Amino acid sequence: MPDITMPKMGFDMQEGTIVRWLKKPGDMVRRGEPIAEIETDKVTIEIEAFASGILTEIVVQEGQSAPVNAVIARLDGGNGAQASAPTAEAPAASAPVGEAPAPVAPQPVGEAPAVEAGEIRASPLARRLAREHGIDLRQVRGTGPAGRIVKEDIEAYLAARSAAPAPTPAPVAPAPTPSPVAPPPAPAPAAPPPVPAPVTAPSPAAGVVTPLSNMRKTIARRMLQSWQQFPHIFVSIEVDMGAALALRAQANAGRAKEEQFSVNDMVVKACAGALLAFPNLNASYSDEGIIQHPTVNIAIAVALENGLMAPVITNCQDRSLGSIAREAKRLIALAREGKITPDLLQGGTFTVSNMGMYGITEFTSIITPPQAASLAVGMIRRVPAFKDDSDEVVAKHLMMLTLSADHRVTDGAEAARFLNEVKRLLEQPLALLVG
Amino acid sequence: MPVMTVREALRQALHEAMQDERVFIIGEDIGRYGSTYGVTAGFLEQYGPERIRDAPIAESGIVGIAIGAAMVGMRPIAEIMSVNFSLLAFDMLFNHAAKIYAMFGGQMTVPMVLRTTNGWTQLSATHSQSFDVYFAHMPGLKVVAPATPYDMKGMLKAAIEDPDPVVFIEHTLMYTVKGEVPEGSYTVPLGKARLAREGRDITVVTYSRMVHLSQQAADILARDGIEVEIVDLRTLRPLDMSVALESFKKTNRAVVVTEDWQSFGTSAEIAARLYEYGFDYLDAPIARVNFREVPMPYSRNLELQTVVTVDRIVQAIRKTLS
Amino acid sequence: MVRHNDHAHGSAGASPALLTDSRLDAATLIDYYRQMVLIRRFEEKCQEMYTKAKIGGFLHLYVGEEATAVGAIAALRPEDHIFTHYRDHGHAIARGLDINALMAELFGKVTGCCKGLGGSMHFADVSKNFWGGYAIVGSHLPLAVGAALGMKMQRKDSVVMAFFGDGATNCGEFYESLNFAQLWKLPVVFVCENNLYAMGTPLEVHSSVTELYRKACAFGMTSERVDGNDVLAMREAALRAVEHARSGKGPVLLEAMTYRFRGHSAQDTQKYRTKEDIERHRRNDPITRFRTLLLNEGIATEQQLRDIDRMIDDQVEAAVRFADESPEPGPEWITQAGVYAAPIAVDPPIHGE
Repeated sequence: MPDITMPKMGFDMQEGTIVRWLKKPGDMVRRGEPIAEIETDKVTIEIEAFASGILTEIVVQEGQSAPVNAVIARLDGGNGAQASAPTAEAPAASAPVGEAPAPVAPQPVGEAPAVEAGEIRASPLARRLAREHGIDLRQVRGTGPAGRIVKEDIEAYLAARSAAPAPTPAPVAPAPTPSPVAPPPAPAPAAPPPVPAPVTAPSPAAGVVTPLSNMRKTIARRMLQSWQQFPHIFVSIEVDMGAALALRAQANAGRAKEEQFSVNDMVVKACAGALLAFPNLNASYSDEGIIQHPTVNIAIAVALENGLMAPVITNCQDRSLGSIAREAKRLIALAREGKITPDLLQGGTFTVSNMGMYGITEFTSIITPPQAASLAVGMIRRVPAFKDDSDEVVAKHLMMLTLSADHRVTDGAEAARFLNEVKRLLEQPLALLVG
Repeated sequence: MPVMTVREALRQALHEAMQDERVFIIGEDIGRYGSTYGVTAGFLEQYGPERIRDAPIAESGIVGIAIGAAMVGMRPIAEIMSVNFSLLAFDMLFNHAAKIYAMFGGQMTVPMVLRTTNGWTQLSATHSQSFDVYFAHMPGLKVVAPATPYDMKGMLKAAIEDPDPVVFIEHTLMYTVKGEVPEGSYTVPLGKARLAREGRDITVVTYSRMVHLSQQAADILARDGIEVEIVDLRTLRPLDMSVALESFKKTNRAVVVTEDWQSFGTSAEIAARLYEYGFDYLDAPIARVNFREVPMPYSRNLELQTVVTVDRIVQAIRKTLS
Repeated sequence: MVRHNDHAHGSAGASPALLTDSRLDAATLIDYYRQMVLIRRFEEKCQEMYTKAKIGGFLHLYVGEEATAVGAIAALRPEDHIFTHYRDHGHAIARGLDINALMAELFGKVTGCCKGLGGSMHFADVSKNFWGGYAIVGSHLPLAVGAALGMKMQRKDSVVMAFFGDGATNCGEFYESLNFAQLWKLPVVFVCENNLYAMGTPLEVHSSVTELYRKACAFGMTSERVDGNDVLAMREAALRAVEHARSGKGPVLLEAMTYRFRGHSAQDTQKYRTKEDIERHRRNDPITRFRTLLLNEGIATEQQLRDIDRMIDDQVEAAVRFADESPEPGPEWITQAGVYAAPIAVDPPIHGE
């Protein structure tokens, strides 16, 4: 019996929430047709049916979550070969090796009903009416030849249903488990109202509980994992950004707005260059060994109203500064518009997090698993400072960089050498332009 | 309103048509013999041999001559006494009448009418056939098969006035069917089906003589409270399914009754269109009632088991409603 | 064009004998030559365009039979009618159809005489009372009879000329048509082009009687055999037949003896005859015969005829250019409006609309 399961929409997705069903029970579903919108870790996305048939049952209601591969709906008439794509989806090169899938919650669905949906005999008219009224045809007894459900049966069912008391929503999340051979006029609840409540129990008496968004849940899960499992070391360095700012002003003056680059883009470019020199920091830890990634994919943290996401600028090792700037602009815009697709969040090998715009001078960041390091970028401060080794005081533009690194992968000294390379690239920024 | 037979209605239509000097009738035994079914009896005396042309037994020639005359401005009415003989004229109908307008790029029209009759009554295998489906299959022809005296007159008039070739199918067992026909001249447009009987339970889609048998079946079922709606298609090409589909969307069940063989027959096309355009309204498989698929036997007993009867229509309706 | 009693263009040095015998002036005689050469060049160009895949379908050439069409149609008036068979290019040209429209028809273009819907076998032009080429052998003869009946009933003195081949004389429609026409004394001139082959089946293999004009005897119909490769003899015979028909005496069957130099169609390997057969008949080429006659009789000079040949070459080339540059017919021709003079809309619509 072809079930529709929660699809895996990204290598690190573990569960998803049904935002909206686009089909009702009784609807004809065609292969490739969108059937629901789900919220994954960080995006809202439409999912498509991999088989055709009649949608007979919605198992996971709108607002409810389900782990990947859990049954979320049932289809009648499909060929059973509904590919819930995840198995076919090859993990990215930077697959999180150490990341064992979280224990999957027990599937919230009863046993398959005794009556296979595909065996229901119903006239096309009856099927249409059932679809329109949200009736599960398995609830209806057919009185036509060989038990075929015909229009009259649907009408009788509807009459009985409207006469019966309104169905009470099921107390637990799963959709009403259909009684396999319900007596015909039994008022079975069709598509109960969406259950908005979270699966978890409410917390302390006082205070307001805001249910966790998926994004929040993801952040919580992954940060906890990182903080608990990754031994962090922190190394800071101060960079003189004078030359970089001058170069930026000069270079941007001749560029169209969309071609202009930011300080952060320069930092990303510098990191890319430094990571090529220190491949150990463009890596992931595994019990079998350190995995050095062949490409430099730098995630840039983007603050959003309700959280944070880090779209990935791939192949930074091959990108010019302009290319990095363009890609960053595009990704940030997509993130702010909520249009980021999962593939744009995958495969990061290093993260740059910048809080300069908030006036933060320095901070530390938590490494995003399974990466080995992340860089926290503070604001550029204009401060009086001694010029070189002289006693002359001049104005300087200083910026603090703090690297968080996985001590299982690297050590403080390597982290320091890496930071010095970043510093060198930013203080002699011409290389950023020509590189 | 005057009540008259199909035969009389047809005669009226032809008399009215003969007022047009371009109209003439050509066929076998239409004049001196007095017309096999009496439709043109007395016409020779009234209109003379030039316009009531007794033809040799040469169906291809009769139809071909009608086509040629139509092309140069006449309005011929060719009569093929029995549709069984029309096979000899199929080349004329299919390769010429149906093609001339399109094939020559719309330069010429073929405003002719071919009148012919279906029918059976112990006439055996070669004289009891129906070729409705052959005619209706052919783009370029218009094919009509009315059921009532009113439609017979109005549609024959419309067919004669039409610039395209029209095959007008009558039925030997229908000439004595009576019905109301208004005084004076009128036409009934081609390509428009009609509701022959209202009912809420099931739709019978049919045409020609089967309309009358379906009415009888509906009368019988009415005693059991079953209301049958009957759609008379009247025209087979172009096939107007709008009335049938509207009815079907109300009743959700249909029986197609046609007096021809079932396989690839007219009922197949009608049912296919019901399925195609009415799929979401279908509450039971569409039943068909047709000739049994054998050459018509001569024996009366066997013949009656081969043709469509009221009883078979009643059974099909009951089964479809079950 | 047919030019009766036109004395304006007599050439110097013309032989009084031919002019007197034919009762035609020099310009008309030269025009017959022009028509025959135009047919020949048109057909040769068709063959070329066929091999270049500009022309599709079947291609049946009239090469060798030019005198029959030109001579027979020369006997007709503009108000007379023609029905012909699938080898119809020669008749169309002799009737004066625009060769641009004919070539465009072969190219399947909307500027064709039938908008590109008919093709080689279905040339027609109602404005010339040229009612079409019909591709089912013998089956157009009842149509011709019907048109003649229409003329008679409309009290017009128009005549219908129907062309067909020797093969058609074995079809039922041939006999039905002869019977109807003679029975009702209809003004039809049946012109049988006896080119000795029904496709690839020789005359003596396909017909119990090889003097085909005798097939009229069974109907008490006047008939005549004529040298179809002699344009003037053909015209004379056609004139007699047309006059007979026009005067109300009924139909006539003419058997025009001719020969098809090319195969039945473009892909005919001609296994049923030898090259020697064809060469022998080529000595009786109707165009060469008439050209020699015109020169010998002093009706035209070599230079005059060469000028005509060249002019025709240009005309045919121009027709190819016209056809090539013309647009294709639009999809409206494959809707019901392309099939019916009065299409009836139904709902749901017939497929194709």
